[in-house]
Amino acid sequence: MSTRTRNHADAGHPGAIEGKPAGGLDKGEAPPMRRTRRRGAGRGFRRFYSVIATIVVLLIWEGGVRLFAVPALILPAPSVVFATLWERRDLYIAFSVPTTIEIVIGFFVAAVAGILLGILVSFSSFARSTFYPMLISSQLIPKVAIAPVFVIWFGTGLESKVFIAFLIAFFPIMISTMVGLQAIETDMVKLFKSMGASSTTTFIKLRLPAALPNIFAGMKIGMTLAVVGAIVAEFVAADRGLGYYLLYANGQLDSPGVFGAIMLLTVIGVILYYLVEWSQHLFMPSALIRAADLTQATM
Amino acid sequence: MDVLRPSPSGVVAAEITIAEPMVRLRGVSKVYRSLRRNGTDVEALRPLDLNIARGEFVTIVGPSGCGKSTLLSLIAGLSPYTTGEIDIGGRPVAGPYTDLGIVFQKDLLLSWRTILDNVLIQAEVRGLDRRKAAARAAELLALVGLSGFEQFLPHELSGGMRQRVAICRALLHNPPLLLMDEPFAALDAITRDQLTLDFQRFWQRDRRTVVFITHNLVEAVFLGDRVIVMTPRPGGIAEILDIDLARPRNLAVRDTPDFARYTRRIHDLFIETGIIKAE
Repeated sequence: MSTRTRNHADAGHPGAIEGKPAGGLDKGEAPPMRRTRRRGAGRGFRRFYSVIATIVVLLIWEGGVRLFAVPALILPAPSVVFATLWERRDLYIAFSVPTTIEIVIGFFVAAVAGILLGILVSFSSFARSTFYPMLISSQLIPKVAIAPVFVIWFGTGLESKVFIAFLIAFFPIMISTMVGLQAIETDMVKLFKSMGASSTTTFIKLRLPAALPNIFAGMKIGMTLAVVGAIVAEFVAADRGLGYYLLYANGQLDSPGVFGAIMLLTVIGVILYYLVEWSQHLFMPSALIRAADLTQATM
Repeated sequence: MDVLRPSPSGVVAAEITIAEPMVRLRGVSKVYRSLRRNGTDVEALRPLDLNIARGEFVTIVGPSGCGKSTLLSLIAGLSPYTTGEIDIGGRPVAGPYTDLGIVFQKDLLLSWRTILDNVLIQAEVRGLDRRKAAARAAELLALVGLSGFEQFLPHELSGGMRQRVAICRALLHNPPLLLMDEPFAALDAITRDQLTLDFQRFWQRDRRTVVFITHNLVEAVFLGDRVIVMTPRPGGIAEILDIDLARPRNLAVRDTPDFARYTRRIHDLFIETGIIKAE
């Protein structure tokens, strides 16, 4: 991997530009103003905006349920859900573990396979003409519908869940890898050729690092899909896990139990999502990730 | 770096042209074959001869689509030529020729690398000694007025600064030949003037061979020892002008009658060849 994290001149570092010798710069060529400096003060507080928003939503929910006296069977108040979570904490923890393991392994296999297949299809025209159409058509089969088949093949244990989570998560990762690897300007490739770069060098120094933002975007989507995959798999056949409990509690008309499982699942999914996002910093300069996040936000 | 020549007069350059051409093109043409069965082939370049002397600054001027970028690609060995032969320093060009530097219209900096690392990519790909290369990179960046920006990322710099970095990258391995494909075309007029002036000064230090493509005839006359005027597609050489203006040339030279005579001549050639329709 040619990219490194390093303490480069941080965009948010005040005085980074003032410290430079002014004589070296020509007139009319001042570097663009840095956006981050102004943002600096409010940034620490803004971090809590999402927490505050969540609390506000929960309060409205709680107030609405009490005001209109909604029965717990239809919509339990957050306080009831939290109480249920606390009462059955041993069960919820015990059931969170297998589900989390299924999601994580499924996602990990999907990431490795998706990236490798994306690379293979990008560089081998043989793979592109034989293997790739098959992969696409395989994506058109509703995986939820054939999930029972995987249970027959892989049993009711961990393997079938991991397989379904993998199958749902891997496609966006592969496609975004391919898109990233191909989005290179032809002049850039010419430049590398004129330096005498082999195709391996061009791949390591140019294509792969250039594709990283796309690969990570695909992995973020893949992570949310892995959660869906694991739960669907547990719906089909399982004797433990949050998906299993969701179905069980629903059968008992135990709405607080259902909502407890949903809340827990949401928290696990969000944590895993942010883990993927955070891992980006191991491969890309932070300033660049911020710039990329801004463009994504405006899309 | 090449030995500094004491007197950069046109006479010396002319003698060198005859003695040892740096780049030699003989009957070089380029035809893009149609991919469809009955499609017509597109002739991009008519067979042309061209000698470029060691240490010469040659500018190639022509409208877009006249094949000047194609010509540069052929010299760099990045695209195969249909007929003729090209050699650089006596060695025939077959496949990418690596003993040169290229600057494109876009700076093509790698967004995830710092300015210094962007210049050093040249050394990394070529497997040069990193410590020596880093010292030279710092030296080059200082020459173009960018010392202090080594650890910045490309998006933190302006377009003109980024193009300066691209020039440093092209020269890191000290190539005898520098190819430039409309390097200043994407910049605003003021930055462009500044870079043109700076680049002339920069070039006069070591006088390496430069092939500079532009569609701006003022830029072509200002920078070139010789200006090669292209015809419209299929591209050929309409005329070669020797620019006899003393260096270093300052911006005011553009308002002199001598300078106007050259641009007038190119203008007339454009009208003759139908590039510009006469009023």
